[in-house]
Amino acid sequence: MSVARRSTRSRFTLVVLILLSLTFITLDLRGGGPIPSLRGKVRDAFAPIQSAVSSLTSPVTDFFQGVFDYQELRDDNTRLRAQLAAASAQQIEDQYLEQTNKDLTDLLKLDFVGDIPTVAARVIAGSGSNFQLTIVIDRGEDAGVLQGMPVVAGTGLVGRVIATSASQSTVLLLTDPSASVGVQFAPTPAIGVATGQGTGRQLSVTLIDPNAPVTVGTVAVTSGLAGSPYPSGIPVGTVTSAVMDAGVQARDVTLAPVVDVSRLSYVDVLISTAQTPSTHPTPTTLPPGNVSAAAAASSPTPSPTPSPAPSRR
Amino acid sequence: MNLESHWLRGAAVLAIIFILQDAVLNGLRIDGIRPDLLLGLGLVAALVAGPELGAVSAFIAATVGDLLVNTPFGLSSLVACIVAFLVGSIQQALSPTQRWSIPVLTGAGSAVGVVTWAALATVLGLPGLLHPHLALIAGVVAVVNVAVSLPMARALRWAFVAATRPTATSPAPRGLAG
Repeated sequence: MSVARRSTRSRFTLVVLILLSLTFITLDLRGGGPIPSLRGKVRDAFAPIQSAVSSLTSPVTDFFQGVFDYQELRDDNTRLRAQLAAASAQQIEDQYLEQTNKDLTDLLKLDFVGDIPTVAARVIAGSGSNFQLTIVIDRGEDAGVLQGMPVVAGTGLVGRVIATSASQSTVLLLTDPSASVGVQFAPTPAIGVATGQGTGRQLSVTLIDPNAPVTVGTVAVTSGLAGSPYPSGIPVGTVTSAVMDAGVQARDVTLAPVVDVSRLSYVDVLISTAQTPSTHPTPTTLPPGNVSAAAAASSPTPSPTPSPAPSRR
Repeated sequence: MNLESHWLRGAAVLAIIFILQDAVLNGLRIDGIRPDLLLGLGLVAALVAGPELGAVSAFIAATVGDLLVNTPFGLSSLVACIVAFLVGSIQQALSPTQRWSIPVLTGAGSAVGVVTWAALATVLGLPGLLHPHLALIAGVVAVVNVAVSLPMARALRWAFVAATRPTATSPAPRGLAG
């Protein structure tokens, strides 16, 4: 009798917990509720503890990370030595390419980062989830960082801000499966949409014109089409394969990101006015053969409420 | 000993696991995969203290964990409390309790929890989660939780079982499995 009563009570407790969870999910997915601000406050409150404990434990963490990544580090070392040797031989060619790149940039009137105010930020944490590729940076709304702002590192695009608190922001990396960005294969007019495929995997590109002259080695930059949160001309990746799939008259194009998003220490947030109200990346569906879709894929969802203008720091 | 202290002890264990998870393990990834001690905490609590208390612990731990990520809030708590309740119920059905049951059920529950989370997140519209890499994520999370399950069980017994053991002056509270 007692066991049966306890079992009934246990099931009742479980049902209550399930209903509570479903309520949380509904509130969060509807947006605009207390959950985003609660998350921001918790992040701000926990930041000092997180920072202190990370500082204390980083030697041990780094040691074990080195053990887990030993083979990868060794491969990196070999690869970097080879690259260094190749770089020395190509120094003269690089100078020529630099001049060519400058000329082409001027020709295409690309809006590069130089004209846009930036906020430098330190990467203080990786993703807290195995299912969302994000980083946490140590600059937030107090520094003028708002949702939707693009984030770059030394060589190119990193992603965009999807959540902010007063002192921290969360950046959705461009390798996340829900991240997409409109790209142009400079100097050709070919454009497409690059979509993340997950950790350690290259970006997949949907070309607007399957017959566009895209070849291996071409650098893809942000297209900056109307409505896109990304300014044009930010390097995104290098084409590693461009294979025509005869069956569906489409080309399988893959990009190797120019930035190794798994090893970021510092990034720059571009203080642009494009913002998105949602902390969750929205799934993207892209109708083929539509130029406006390329812009839409990389556009933030229109904000229902006006947001404060970002301050320049 | 104050019988109400089991909640304080439970909160202390949760706080330690939470700090370990967010400040230490976040930077320690195995093939890019982050261990999930908060999921393990709920499962082990269910194995040590019964399905009801396990489900509540799993719910609280997952809700706290959800505050620091940007995935749908409440999804982790939904999955964690259900899986914890299930493994706790299986543990209760195993009579007498087997020595191997805590690591085995923790590992199995962890893998099921990870895959269930990805499936439900896909239903909610998050793309690209159901791919072969998911098996690796489930495997790493399960293996790490198996590795920490016995020390975690010891800590949770200290929190939930030892603290509620009846004494000569005070009866055990109702509903807490021992």
